[in-house]
Amino acid sequence: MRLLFMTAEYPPYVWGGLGRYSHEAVKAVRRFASVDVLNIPSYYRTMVVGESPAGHRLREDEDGLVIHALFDESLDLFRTDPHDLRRAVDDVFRCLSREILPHLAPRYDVIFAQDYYTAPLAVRLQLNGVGDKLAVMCHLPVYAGFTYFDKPHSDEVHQALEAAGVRLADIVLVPSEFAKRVLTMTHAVHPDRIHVIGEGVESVMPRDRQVVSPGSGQVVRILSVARLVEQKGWHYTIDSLSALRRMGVPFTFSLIGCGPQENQVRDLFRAADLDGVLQHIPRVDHGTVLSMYAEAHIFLSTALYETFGLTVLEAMSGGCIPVTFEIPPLVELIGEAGITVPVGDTEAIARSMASLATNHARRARLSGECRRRAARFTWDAHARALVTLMAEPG
Amino acid sequence: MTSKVQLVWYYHQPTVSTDAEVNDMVVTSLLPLLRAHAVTSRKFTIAITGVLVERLAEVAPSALGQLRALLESGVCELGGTTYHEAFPPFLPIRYLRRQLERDMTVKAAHLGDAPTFFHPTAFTWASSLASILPEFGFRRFVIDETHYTYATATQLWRWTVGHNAQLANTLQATMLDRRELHIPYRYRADESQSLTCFVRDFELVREFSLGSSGLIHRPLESEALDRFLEYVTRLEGGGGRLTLADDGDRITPVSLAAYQRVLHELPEDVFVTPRDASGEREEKELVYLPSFSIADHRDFWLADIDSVHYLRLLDEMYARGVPLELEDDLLELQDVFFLFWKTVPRKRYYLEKALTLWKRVCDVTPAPTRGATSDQDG
Repeated sequence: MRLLFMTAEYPPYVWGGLGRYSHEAVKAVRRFASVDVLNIPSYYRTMVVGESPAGHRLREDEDGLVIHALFDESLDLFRTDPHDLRRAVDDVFRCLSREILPHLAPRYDVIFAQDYYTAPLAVRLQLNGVGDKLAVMCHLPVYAGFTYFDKPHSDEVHQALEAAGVRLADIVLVPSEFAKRVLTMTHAVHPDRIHVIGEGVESVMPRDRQVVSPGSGQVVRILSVARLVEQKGWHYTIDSLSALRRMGVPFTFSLIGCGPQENQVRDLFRAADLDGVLQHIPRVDHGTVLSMYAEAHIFLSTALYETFGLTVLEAMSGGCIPVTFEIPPLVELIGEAGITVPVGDTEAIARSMASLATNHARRARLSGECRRRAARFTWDAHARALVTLMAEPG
Repeated sequence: MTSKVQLVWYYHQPTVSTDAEVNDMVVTSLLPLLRAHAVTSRKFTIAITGVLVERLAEVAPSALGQLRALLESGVCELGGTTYHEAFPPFLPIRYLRRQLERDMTVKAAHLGDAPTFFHPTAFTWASSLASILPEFGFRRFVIDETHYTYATATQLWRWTVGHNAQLANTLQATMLDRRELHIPYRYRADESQSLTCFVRDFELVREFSLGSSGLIHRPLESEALDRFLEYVTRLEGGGGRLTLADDGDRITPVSLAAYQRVLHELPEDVFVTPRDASGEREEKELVYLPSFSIADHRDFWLADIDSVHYLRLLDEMYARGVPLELEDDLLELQDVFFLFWKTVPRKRYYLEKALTLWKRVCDVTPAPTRGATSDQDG
């Protein structure tokens, strides 16, 4: 099978999200199929390190993966007036045709588009005969307007782009049952056409170091990995840590992440007098993040909206116990292998973390359960499911 | 003088929603809302449709238990609604009554409460409601400020010229002092009974919570919320009642934190419910409330031919008369879902049910003869 993987972010510049998915999924799918990557950066492009705007970039990574990229400052669908959206998509496609098409393979079995930004362009490519089949992965279905408050443009544009992909794709994919529910609320798509394939981890990591022994006086290590945006509920993280400190539980807190609201989040930590426990690491390579999962006891996520929760899964694969709000996709992912508390109940988060800090037996049991559950979600299984689905006749 | 704040939330899930969707709503919105008020003891009002109350009894009985506890403690006042999310002005009076009757029965059975405050679907209003509401024990209701403006407009028409020299006219809006919206109004149902009418301040609602643009959707910014709190506590000519009522833009995990801050930072006695209205401030007289839909209005609801077709199907059933044993099916079809959601595939659920019911009605009820009038409105 020959597959064209279309994404708006490659390689990843954050630890979860679209870039991480694209990177890991491509790596895994290449075990079963021939893959080319087509990267059309959306508003993330200015953060793609080492690339400058204008024109086509073609490079081959160390594993021989061919990555085509289109950079043009003027091609920004998200800054488009909704009434001009079709014309804007036309403009991007013309540029795509001119700059990229001559460099692509003559024909692909499947065009696999990620999210709404690339979906309408993938539709054009299919209609122009570049690919036989079109698959669209809707990582973050647009519906609840509040989920997009960290994005600079209106839901109208997002939803119109999403609709273009959903209605014409031969295969519609989502990462969770929750995402499927959201998608079926808004689009003319029958639930039977939507396939749920959870994301994955490379493998379950060994956890041979018991980093905290039972008994009092031990310092519990708490880790959060997420972009510094409102959607991740940092104000609740701070309230939870403050409550934990009031309970007299000694802890350290590592935060891996950067984002547009970095200064605001840091100010909130300062205002709560939590500077002393905060270790903020804006950027670090993925391997280091994985080892930090294996060394931390608790993965704290106060995210207010997710459709899968890839960093939560990665933490679980390292035996790091997630403590989160009971938002539906995280309940679906975590199952019994972690603790979920009512949304907004920071005292309950603090109590849960205090309990894990002092109850060694529970911590050991949950840590083992995390690794067992994470083992069900591997990139290998994800890729096999994808390729099987894509190979099914019409 | 500090104003009073009346927080009125509205909850509904149509029957087409799956259990998982109802549960999503419960864990991300209803439970956080109930908990925020349980912790702070700040009063609020919740208008929750009867059909959702029944659904909660099956899907999330503990949420219903928490709501019941708040009602018993007096922290929460229950609002009456139509049983399904139905538009009063679109219903024959007989079915409007049935919607109310069914809603009251369900609320009494599951929540042990008989609401005296009525929250019409999406603030729509049928002029006949004024005489119907007292029959069910309602004493108070809420309208939107656009309805108030419309109801109090002068009879001066302004002629305007639009594209292609088309003439249009608009009713001149009354010169509105925003403090008018913070007064309870007395609306006479008949010679012997009157209702108290509250007007929701739409501008304030928009600033506070509407959609994703309101200030409670900006949890990392405190300045906007500071200004709101100051506005409430220092309102010029204070003593008014600010009604922040909602028609379905529920509390979310995002808006919760700022909402909690409002509850924590305003004094307990600021928060009131409709029941507290008597004696608080002298009511002014409101003479007439015409039927009204906040989404202007008819064009919005009847913009697509599919909705027209669906409503005609219902009209035909009204005209034929639906046997008692089939009435519940018809009530479900009056849910606004079909009209509001323009293209989603699950509209088929309603259309198929309507066609099935129509066939059953035809089987048992002969077609009305030409010139005969229906007694359905009686």
